[in-house]
Amino acid sequence: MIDAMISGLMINLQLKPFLFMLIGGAIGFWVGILPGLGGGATLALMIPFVYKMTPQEALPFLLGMHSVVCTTGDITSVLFGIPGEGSTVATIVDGYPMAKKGEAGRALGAVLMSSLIGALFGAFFLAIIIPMVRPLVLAFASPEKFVLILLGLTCIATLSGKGKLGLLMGLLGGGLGFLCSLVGQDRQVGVLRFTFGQLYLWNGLSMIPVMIGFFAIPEVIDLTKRGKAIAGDVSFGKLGKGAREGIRDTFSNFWLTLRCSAIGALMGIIPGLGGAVSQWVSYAHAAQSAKTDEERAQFGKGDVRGVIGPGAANNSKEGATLVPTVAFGIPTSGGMAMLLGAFLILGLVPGPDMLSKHLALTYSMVWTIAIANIICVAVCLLFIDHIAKLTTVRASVITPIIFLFCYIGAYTANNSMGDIVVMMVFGVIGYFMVRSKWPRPPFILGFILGDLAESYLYVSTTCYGSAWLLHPKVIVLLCLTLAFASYPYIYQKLTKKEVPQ
Amino acid sequence: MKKETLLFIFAFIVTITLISPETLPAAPSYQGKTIRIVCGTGPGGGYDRTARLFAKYLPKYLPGKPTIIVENMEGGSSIVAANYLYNIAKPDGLTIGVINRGLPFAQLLKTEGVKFDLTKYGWIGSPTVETNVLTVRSDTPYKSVQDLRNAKGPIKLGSGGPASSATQFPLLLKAFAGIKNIQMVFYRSSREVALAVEQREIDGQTTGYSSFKPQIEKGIYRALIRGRVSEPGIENLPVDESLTNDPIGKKLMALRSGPDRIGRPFIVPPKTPNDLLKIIRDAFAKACKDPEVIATADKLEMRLEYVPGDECLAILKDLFNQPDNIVKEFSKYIKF
Amino acid sequence: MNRLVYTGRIVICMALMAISVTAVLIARKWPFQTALFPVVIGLVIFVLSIPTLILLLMGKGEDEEKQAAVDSQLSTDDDEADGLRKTVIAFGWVFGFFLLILCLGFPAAIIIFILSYARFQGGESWGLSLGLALISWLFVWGLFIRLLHIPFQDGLVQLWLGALGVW
Repeated sequence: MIDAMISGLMINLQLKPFLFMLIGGAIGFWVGILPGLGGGATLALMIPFVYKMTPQEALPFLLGMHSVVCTTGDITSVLFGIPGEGSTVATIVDGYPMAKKGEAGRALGAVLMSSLIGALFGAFFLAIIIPMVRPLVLAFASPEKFVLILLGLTCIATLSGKGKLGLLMGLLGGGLGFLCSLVGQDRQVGVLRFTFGQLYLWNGLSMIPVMIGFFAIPEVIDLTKRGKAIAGDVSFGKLGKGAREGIRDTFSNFWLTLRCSAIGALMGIIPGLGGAVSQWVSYAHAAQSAKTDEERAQFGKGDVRGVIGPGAANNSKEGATLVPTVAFGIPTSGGMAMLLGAFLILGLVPGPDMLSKHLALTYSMVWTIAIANIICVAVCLLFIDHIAKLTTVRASVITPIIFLFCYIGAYTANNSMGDIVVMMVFGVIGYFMVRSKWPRPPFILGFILGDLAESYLYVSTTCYGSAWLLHPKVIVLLCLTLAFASYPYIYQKLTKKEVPQ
Repeated sequence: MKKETLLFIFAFIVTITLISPETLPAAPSYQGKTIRIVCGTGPGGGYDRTARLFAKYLPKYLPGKPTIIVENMEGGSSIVAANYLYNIAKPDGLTIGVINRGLPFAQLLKTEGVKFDLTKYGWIGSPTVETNVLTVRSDTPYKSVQDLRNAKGPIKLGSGGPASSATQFPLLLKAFAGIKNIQMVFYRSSREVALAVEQREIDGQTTGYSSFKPQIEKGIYRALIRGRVSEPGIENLPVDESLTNDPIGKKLMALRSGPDRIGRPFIVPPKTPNDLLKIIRDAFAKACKDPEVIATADKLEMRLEYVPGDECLAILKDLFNQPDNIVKEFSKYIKF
Repeated sequence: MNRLVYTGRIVICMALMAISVTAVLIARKWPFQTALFPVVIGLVIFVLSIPTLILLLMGKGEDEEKQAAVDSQLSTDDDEADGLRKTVIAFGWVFGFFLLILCLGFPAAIIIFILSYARFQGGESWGLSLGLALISWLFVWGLFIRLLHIPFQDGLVQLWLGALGVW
């Protein structure tokens, strides 16, 4: 294994692979920053070049692009409140308020550093578990996946307000999100649910237009009303705390960063769960780490930990989501499906061969994730204080551009006008919810996890009857879920703080 | 010079001018043009890969060597793309479509949202055929059709959804071939089904032969029954139609397997001029025989076999000419 | 509690009750497996919204500083009447952009929207507004249309002109 690791590194350090990795990384930089450029569609463009490359050149090229997307996607989330990728939505909740307070530089520094740590953790994690990855993935069948989804669903309660009313509002939001996730053709019988005669809704509501509408449109409305720059009254170019402060924050919350990286890595390995979940679970965990209720109430208003958590998780999952693709040929996203196609073209068959015969190549992929992110973060940090100044550009210039990004970002999800209608509808709902101080994150969790929960519950009961509840792994995971849900109460009891109500 | 000679030279010059290349009707050429392949599914799947494969290799065989790009137009299991190609796309030979092979059933069952008639498209044909093979994991006790019939417990077969041939094929076997214990389990994608089989959560699935050839050859999976459409390697398997004596069952199985010949349907909008259609058809046929294309397709787990457009059209017309009672029976097992 | 927040929450709660009831009514006609989750979730939402509504109507808001849920905030309106007007105008731009795209297609809509927003909403000069609009158009055309071949549908106007044989 060590030989393969070293061979992998040697592959990446040769001239051509390294150069291709840099080019891929440069492309990935822009793909992440610009909403509307999805990893999948861009990989599709890059694949024709792959025909003429060797695997040693092609893999750093493709992965150099893909692994950097989540790092720079966080930049757009922080600066403009627009989710460029599905996995960078949670960063908006605290990142954008920081930008509005004039702390964009700090937020960016924190998110970039936590992304780097997350990426390195994910790469390291992947490297360690490669020898046992097949048994690990095989161990997580449908009942285990269902309980992990339950874990995600308990975050609905975690992200709700405290007290009876707060909890109820959160649960209601989660329930509505759950219902929205059921729109489309049902998987068991083929009945069209809640599609109201619209072909567009057959595949359900797409995540990106919903997220852009839910988070970005209310902010765009707010920008239009305020008529000021994103950072408010701060005069052009004069931002306060900069990137260095953000980097310091990441290290002063080092254990949180590591824990959230672990959450991202673990959830990313399981095919079917998707990276979208881990960012919210880690956000919930970051919110749990608040020691008092006052502190917790600051989440959503610009607490740097709310940026660090998801920032780390959405990068650590990158390495992890490669696992099902490489070891089993099961792509976990459109981008991974493209990557799978590229593997086949290069003559690499996903499966046991990648973990034995081509182990060095697999490790070179791990190294690519690590090195590409190090370089990307280093480059970003050089310019970050200047990029942050975009938040001081006056509203009349920046707002129409943000409008443009929202609409293009929504449209390119499915190349359909329906996406824009969905974006607007959820824009209205999202705006209303924010103005009424009704929390939105629980809705998102219900939306992402709803139909997943349904699918896995049905498979579990069809295959095992009710016996799956007694599977040892299921019991362990249920205990973990309970532990996760009661973490704040236990923590408070242990530190003898007052438990509210 | 004599008058006649002058007149002759003059007539010669006029004739030459009149029949110069600029005045002859030019053969259609794609020089400098771009062809779009509109793919009814998202990026990364089998249809998309097929579209991109031909986007790469087809220009070689088209006059003028155009650029070909792939556009993904997802929605309604490619009904959106089919509607677009039928009603909006121009029949100028610059738009090709690749659609879900299950669409004939959508039209047959009068699914809502269908705004096309498949028999009116210009049919290029299909570069692959779809085989359906019922496979089980080799450590299950099912070694033959009789074992399946005698099964004591449920035979759990996975599928990506009720509208997939991976569901239709076994359901017809369950209804008519006496394999009563088949139980369908629905997953989110066919790849997840493969994982579930390895995890021993389910016993097997119905799948295309090419995608699982390595596992079948290595003995990890056991192939038991196939559909009418065959390919090298599975010719000796029992065909589903031969496993039932019920004439309606046989008819339904035959109908279901009809569109299997049209593995990846490639079409052009209705009223595309015949000469353009012929050029594209010829290019496809040649590309499917090109060793480089075959090698790349092989890497992508595809086996190329060109099915001409006219054959596809004939299959569809047969499907749509069935009497109502047959269609009604059909709709009990076939969903879209 | 702020009057807007109070009213907003009650409206949302009642909307949720209506949505859940509608969902259950629609779902009850479906086969069992299809209907199970929508009906259960719908019922749960309805049942939970009753005590929520009661708590809201009784004015039992939580102590917002201590117990607030985790979410961003928007700026509050200092003057409610003016705030409402500005909100309506802002949404007008949102729907307006959509209508422009529907009628004229993306490329043309981008130019007109950015030009009008910068000039009329933002108060910028004609020159700057036009410059911004053209640069944005160039960016979208170059990246999304030329390089990525994203299909942007024709607007209704182009379709009508096409039907008339003019486009």
